Amino acid sequence: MPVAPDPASVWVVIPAFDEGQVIASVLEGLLRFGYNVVVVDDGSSDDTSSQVSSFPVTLLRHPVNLGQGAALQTGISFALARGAAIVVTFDADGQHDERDVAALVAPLESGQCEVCLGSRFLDGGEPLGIPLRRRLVLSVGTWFTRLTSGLALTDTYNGMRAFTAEAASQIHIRQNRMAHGLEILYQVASLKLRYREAPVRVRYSAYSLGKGERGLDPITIIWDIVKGRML
Amino acid sequence: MRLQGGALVLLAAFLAFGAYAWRAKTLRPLRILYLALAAAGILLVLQQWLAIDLAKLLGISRGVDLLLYLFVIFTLFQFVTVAAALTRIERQFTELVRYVAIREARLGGGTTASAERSGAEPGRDR
Repeated sequence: MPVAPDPASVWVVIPAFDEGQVIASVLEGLLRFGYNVVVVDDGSSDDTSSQVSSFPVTLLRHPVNLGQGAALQTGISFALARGAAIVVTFDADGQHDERDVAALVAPLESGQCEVCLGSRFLDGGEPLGIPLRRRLVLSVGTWFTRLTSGLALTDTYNGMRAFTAEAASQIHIRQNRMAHGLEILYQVASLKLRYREAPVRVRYSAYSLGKGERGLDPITIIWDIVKGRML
Repeated sequence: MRLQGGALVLLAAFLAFGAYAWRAKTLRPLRILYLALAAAGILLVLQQWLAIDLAKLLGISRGVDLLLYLFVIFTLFQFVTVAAALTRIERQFTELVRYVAIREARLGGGTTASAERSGAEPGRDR
């Protein structure tokens, strides 16, 4: 069923950990489009929360650091309780472009799918300045995910995603740390949710290269997924 | 029957384990398992030939090898039990932190959640 194209019905969830240097510019960009924004401060030790507090957004604070997956689920649960029609996940480190949110939301609004996943490797997407080593790791990860999930994706570790409220309410992120990305995809597959990819830009700066996808250790992620299924 | 020093220590250890299992606040099937293990240990201390005969029955050359294999299986079982308990506790802790975070939601500009409950719309300043 198509969803009404009202920016006020779109909630952007931003998990943040020690992003005091860039979170203000991220929020400035998003608020220009009229979206509802909720930032989940995942136990930051810097001034992330005080930076966020000066913007008309909702701030949720984890008293201890749990991980990006846990912060995402907290934000998604909050957005759904506030009546979000569409939930978008967005990184706090400045890698994502706020102009791409509309491209992710459009297929949901037209009823083409329930889940839209950002891809930096599609035509029109752009992995600006991606280091070769990271590209190789992502390629192997994409191949593995396609093999184990059956999803035909070109970018399996992109933090920009959009869900209809119904899809978001069916997905429950239990992986607190970096395995949550893979977990979300596995749930999209097992729930047989209709999905598409949309091209997005990912900006790699010196700052984001130091923070973005840190902890993206394939062995740890796979072990966390296996352990989560067994226990 | 005359038991030597080492056997007495083992007997005392299995009796203590049995007493702990009897009083342990854990799932009933686990308590029964632990009590059975304590009983088996006591029996093997008192009738040591049992381990040798049982080992031969299972095609294992020595009674002590049988006990070692059983110990390894029991230890692995304990690892899995503890890992499952830790995972459960982590999930409960996550839900608790999430509850606190959502309960203490704050709107931008210093508006508190109480103001939100009084009618302010979160995330919008219109």
